[in-house]
Amino acid sequence: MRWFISIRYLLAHLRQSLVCIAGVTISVTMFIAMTAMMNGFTDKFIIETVEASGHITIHDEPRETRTPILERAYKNPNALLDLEGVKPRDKIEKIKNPGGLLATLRRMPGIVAVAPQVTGDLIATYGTKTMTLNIIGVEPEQTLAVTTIGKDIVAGDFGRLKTAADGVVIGRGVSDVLGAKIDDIITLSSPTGGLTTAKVVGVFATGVTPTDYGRGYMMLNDVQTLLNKKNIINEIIIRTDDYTKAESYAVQIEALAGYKTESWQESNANFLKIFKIQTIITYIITAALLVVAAFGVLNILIMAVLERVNDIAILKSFGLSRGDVTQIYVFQGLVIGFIGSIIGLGLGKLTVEGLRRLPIQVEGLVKSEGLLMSERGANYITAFVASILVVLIAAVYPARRAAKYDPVEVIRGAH
Amino acid sequence: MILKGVDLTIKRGEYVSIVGASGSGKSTLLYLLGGLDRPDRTDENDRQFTPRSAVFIDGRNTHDLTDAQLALVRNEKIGFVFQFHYLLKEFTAAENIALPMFKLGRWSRHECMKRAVALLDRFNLASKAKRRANRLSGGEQQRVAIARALANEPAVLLADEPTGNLDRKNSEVVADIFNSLAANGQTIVIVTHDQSLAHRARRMVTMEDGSITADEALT
Ligand SMILES: Nc1ncnc2c1ncn2[C@@H]1O[C@H](COP(=O)(O)OP(=O)(O)OP(=O)(O)O)[C@@H](O)[C@H]1O
Ligand SMILES: [Mg+2]
Repeated sequence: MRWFISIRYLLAHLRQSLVCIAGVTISVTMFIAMTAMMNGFTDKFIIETVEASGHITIHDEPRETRTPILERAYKNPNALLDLEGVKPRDKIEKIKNPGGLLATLRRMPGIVAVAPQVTGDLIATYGTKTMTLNIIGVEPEQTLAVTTIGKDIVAGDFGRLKTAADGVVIGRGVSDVLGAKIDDIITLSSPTGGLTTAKVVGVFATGVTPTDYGRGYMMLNDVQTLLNKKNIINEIIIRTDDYTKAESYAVQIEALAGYKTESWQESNANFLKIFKIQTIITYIITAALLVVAAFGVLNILIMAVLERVNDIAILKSFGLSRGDVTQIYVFQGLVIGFIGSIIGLGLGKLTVEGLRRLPIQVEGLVKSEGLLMSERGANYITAFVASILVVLIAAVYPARRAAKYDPVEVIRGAH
Repeated sequence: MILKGVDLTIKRGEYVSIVGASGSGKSTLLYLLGGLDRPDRTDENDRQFTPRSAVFIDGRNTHDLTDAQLALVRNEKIGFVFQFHYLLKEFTAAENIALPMFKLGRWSRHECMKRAVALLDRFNLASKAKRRANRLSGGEQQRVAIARALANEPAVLLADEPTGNLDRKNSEVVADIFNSLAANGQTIVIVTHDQSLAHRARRMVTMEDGSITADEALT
């Protein structure tokens, strides 16, 4: 009976009811589409970053930064002493006994592969074009076991590093900026004075812009020579059995190795923070839309109460309780919320599929052909539950107001 | 505190009319009898009335019931008719009559609708069963309202100025309906200014200033 009355009342204001349903639908559709798109790009960024750079990286420095020399001597921070022009000590940083550490790591449970590398910055020149290159000296087989850089090669071959003398593999962005294609010879110079020419034997494209526009790979020995870091390993990259657990593995490894050990989450904290802010903004926008829709529901229900005061009085006179009257109005809200969010979920799904098929070139933090969409069941559930809940809350006030009418007062008032 | 020293008992099968000047408390008494309202227990100075004010419907004190229980008593035992019809305009004539039956839950939906049409037929309105309430004439609407009051076979039919808004002809029709209902044993209490209607009842109660001044049997 309560449902019967609710539905009839909603149909009586079909147009307003449809507007309210549309409000809920739009909020839900927006939420589904926006979260799917954000998740798509976030997932792509994470996967590509993780796969191209390793899950965990051991650096050649201890975690705590050294206390400046003065503060070590004078513990009182208010001491009237100052030492200007303190420079970082020009000490060669390295991981001691890398062979032993690598062997230990390989025996650790959960670790799939490890690879030593030496890294540094070089200036790459080709013709008149110049750019900084973050060069990584690698043992190709080991690096290919830790990363998927081999799959990201779009020209040439990662393995040619071993066979070609002074070969270099560069990112597609680097290749574009310098104008250097496969088999072209580029010049590399280091701040420490090293200088060499190298042949481009491969070009990779991970899709993550900072990597593609800044990274190059060479043989470990070549880089050690070029950077004047003979026999030095300054990073070890690690592949684990589950990249989502990288943070806890990193803590274990740091305790064991004694060097600063960063999980991919820590290395990319800034980007992850941007993603988090994006997510928060999406939630705020959707919440705002939903609140607008809720006010719409509040509005039509208050109207439906005010113009049905007589109905409420007679319903009570022939036996409906306060609870019955409350439910009649709450149900109206529920129906709007339910229909609105179900249509919204469907439209959201359609929007996601439509956007996925749009032939758009995306180039930002992540580069891809077409929009990347990644749906999560949880987002659908969140949208459904949140919209019904918000609309329900909006229905409570009119419903309670309806239930409060005293039939005697209403009936006397009509005279 | 509008009613003073009112002591009234309506027995099963009685047809009672209540008359009196405007403001004498007729409607107030009727709403109390129907459990639409409860009598105050104390005066404005918070003193208990002696004897205590109480209304019993079928032996149950309305003060001993919760709001929800009292609503159920109204649903099951009371049929109200007011000066205005108060039909729900989005519902058909038959649906309006069926709503109290839906609430009672004694019959299936289908049976409720059949009973509603049968009630309409008693008042020569069977052809209007599927018509929206707001598309009926004033007289028809009031007859539907009476049919609705009878939906759950109430112990008593309480009518407050049921002809107050009708023309002479329709008032006649309504008066005839009450007569035939009473003839079939339906307990009826009507409040009215309409002398001819009041005199058709078999007992007439006269009120003045919140008190009963006359209670006579009519022949
Ligand atoms: N809510 C209220 N609070 C206080 N007094 C009220 C209230 N409602 C009505 N009254 C007063 O109670 C008295 C009785 O009112 P009631 O409606 O019962 O009279 P009535 O006999 O039905 O009159 P009428 O023939 O005009 O319908 C009137 O004096 C009225 O002003
Ligand atoms: Mg009155």
